[in-house]
Amino acid sequence: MSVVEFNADQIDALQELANIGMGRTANALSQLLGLEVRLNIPQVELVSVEKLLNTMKERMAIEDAVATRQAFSDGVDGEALLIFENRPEQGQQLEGEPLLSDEQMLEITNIMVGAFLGSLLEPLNAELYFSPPALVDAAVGAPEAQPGWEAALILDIEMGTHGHMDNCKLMLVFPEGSLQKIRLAVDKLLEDL
Amino acid sequence: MARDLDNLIPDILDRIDVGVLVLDRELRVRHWNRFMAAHTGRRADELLGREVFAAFPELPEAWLRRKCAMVFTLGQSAFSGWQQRPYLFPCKSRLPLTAGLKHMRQDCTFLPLKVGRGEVDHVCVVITDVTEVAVYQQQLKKALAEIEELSARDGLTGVFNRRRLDELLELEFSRHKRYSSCLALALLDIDHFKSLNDTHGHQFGDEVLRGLARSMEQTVRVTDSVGRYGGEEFLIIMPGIDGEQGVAAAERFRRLVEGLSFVHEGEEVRITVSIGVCEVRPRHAAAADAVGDADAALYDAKDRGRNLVVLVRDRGEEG
Repeated sequence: MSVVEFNADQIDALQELANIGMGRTANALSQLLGLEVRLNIPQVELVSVEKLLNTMKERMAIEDAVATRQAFSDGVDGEALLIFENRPEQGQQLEGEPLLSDEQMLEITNIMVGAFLGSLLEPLNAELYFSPPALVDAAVGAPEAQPGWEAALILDIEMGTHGHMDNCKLMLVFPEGSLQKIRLAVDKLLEDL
Repeated sequence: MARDLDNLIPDILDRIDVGVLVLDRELRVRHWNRFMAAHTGRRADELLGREVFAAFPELPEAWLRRKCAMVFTLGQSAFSGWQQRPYLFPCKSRLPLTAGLKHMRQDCTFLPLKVGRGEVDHVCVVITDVTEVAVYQQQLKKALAEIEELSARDGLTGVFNRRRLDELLELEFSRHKRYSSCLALALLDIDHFKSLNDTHGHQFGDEVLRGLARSMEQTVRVTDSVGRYGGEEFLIIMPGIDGEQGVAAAERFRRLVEGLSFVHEGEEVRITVSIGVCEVRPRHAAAADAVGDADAALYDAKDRGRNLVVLVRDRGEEG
């Protein structure tokens, strides 16, 4: 399997871009959705699609977990998957109402994916075309691996709302050609430093 | 050549089967295509330059302001799906006869536009009619619910079938283990059912099963579940009640059946049932163990002359 390799410097730069993207996301979420948002520094990990799908299956098996997806194209193609664990903080009882409505989760998805990819691709001046975000139907099941989709980025994000802490995982899946473009963006950032 | 084509763009915008409108930063209408005019019944010339909320007071103002703010602030597209918000602009459905939906279902995309230089200064709202999709979704949901219901029911009697009964039993059993709430089971068997079949025929036997199932379903509490466990055996799952209360309920069933009257070829036929009752206890490691105990009590009831309710006694309680 030929996954595009990222060296340690490139991973660092990727982490940096992720930090910027998450900063923007936090601002946007609190400003626009009125959500009290605490975002920690995301952990960036480059994995095989196989591992991503396994992670996704594990996460979706958690009670009350909800997954969303959003595709993007034109320049860099790929799909973003978000899993909201909708988990109450320890000691807090979860009663009735879910922490976030479907609409809120879809809006968070759109903002997060847009802000993150915006930061990631800023060095390339690329503007992407986004499809509408959608809920992943748990009954239909987790997506299957497609040939040509070989690598994925996983970002672990803790996002707090209304005193609750949601563990939210942002996962980006890319076909190989698009991942090369991302490496290009990272290299460009490294050159400018 | 290119210029001529550019001139046709407004024409194209007016002919596509998609709603397109443009709002400026003050949310005044700056463009309104023919789709929008045709479906809202409001022409562009009466709307252009007016604030969209003044023209359409029924719009969800706070929500729409927030969506537009998202586009202006972030410079990125925002979306709204019909499943979260059925429609933005109230338009008559184009499928009024088949759909049963009064309003057109709409997916909306909010696109950032830069008319001047610099910041995003307009938002273009693109509206797609997805009523047909919504109708299919509705029909699919209804069909799935019907299939789910059918696959859970016993074909002859209409009460839950064995498969569903086992699922419900597992569910109640794990709930009992988690919350230590009471749970009682009653296993009911029609006395001398074989000879009833032999004497009056299988069709009459089926009628008895149906009649018994119907009256049991009418008698149990809403929280109880009745199902056909085997040939002429029925299981009643009774959450929230203990063994003694379970016996009282079973006694009600027994007397109810005693009072039922079936008629075959002008002749009145009466039936009786024997019932084994079991309260689920810590010694039951699995739901099947508790059913086994109820079954043993049922045998006991048969041994002791039938038309009887017997409760499983815990060890040490015997006597």
